[in-house]
Amino acid sequence: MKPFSNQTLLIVLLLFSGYGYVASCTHKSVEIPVAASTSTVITRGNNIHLPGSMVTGDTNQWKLDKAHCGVLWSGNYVGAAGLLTGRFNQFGIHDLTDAKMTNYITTGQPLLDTSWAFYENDPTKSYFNGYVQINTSNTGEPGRDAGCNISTMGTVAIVAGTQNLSLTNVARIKTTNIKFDALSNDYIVTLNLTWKGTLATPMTKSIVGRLKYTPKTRVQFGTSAAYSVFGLQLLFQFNCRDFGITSTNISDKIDIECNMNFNNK
Amino acid sequence: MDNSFQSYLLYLELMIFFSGYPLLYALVSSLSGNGRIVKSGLNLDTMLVKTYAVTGALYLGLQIRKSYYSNSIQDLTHPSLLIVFALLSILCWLPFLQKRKIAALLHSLFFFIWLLRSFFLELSSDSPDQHVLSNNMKVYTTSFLLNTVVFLIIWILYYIARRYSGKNTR
Repeated sequence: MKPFSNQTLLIVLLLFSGYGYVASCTHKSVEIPVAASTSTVITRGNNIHLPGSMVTGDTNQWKLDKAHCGVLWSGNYVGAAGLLTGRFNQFGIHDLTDAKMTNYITTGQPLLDTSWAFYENDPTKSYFNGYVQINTSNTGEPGRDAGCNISTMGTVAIVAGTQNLSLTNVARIKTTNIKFDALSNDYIVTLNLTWKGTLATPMTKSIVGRLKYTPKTRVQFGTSAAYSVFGLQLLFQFNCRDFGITSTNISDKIDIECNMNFNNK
Repeated sequence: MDNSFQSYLLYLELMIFFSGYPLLYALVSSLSGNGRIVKSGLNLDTMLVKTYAVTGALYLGLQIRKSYYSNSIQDLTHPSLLIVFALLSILCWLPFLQKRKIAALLHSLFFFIWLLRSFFLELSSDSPDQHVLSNNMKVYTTSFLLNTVVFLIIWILYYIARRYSGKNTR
């Protein structure tokens, strides 16, 4: 008897080959899972922040922490070079009506910063009214800030110990619409910018900006009492020529960045 | 063999040349006992072994060609162990081995079993890929066809040689 039967070998090889062809032709691959979405994941909480009357100690009332806030401006120097930047030293979140636009003899905030509300998940209820005192623009160059800047901006010099909220010295914003940004966690803000500048009467321009919310966080330092904070950042830009600013030292387009921090101490 | 692409190419080359021979061997060997084949005087066993030797020579040619185009003699002077083993098929040209067709079969069975192992490893894995399975079968089919064509060419050459020698003896 042949140790190696040709017939047996043939049958075995044909069986293996046949099985191989059948298995390779009929076997279904494991389905490739659907690709994960590459779109931005937007998560919004349900935080509601209201100023109330800014009563100290009431943790339900949120107070503007002005010392840790900033309103910044920037524009291209001579419209072509790098950025010329500055900040406004005095600002607030209050709806300045005509009756309130006057001088206040105080070194602190002249008016309560209560003209705002923020609803994280319902922007239709959110709103902001803010102002800056133009003559408090600070570029780090006293010669500019107390010199040409005053006349260029159509305002008056700072009077020590006085908060000047008169018509010639304030630029105001008032939000008209806030809605979700579909592509991010931010909000799209439509606001009215009102400023007299060097014009005869104040000009109001509708501007669209972006609002970013830094969610409420509880903080504690050492043994002092814990409290909560949250932040808002408003970004927008405007054309200073619309408000009669003719200086060629600055570009037409001015970027504004409002960084506001709040706490509930 | 590691999991590199070069190793996979080496695997494919070896399978294409040698893995299809056992099936051809089995088919031809089962035919060699056929009455008509025996009457024709054709020695299919010798032709089988010669087929394997030619396949080995073709593989050697491929290695030389690759070495030539890579501008490196090192591939030729320092081949891997698998390539050396594969090139042992050239020894089937020796008259001593032509009488022992089992040697060619055993040599090719190494590659056939390797292909079989790869196939069943893929089939039994957690997520077998049909493309890998069908590729293995394509390689096997190509090898079988290659060996079959070589066998047929040798058969034709044998036939022509016999007819020519037959005319000369008249």
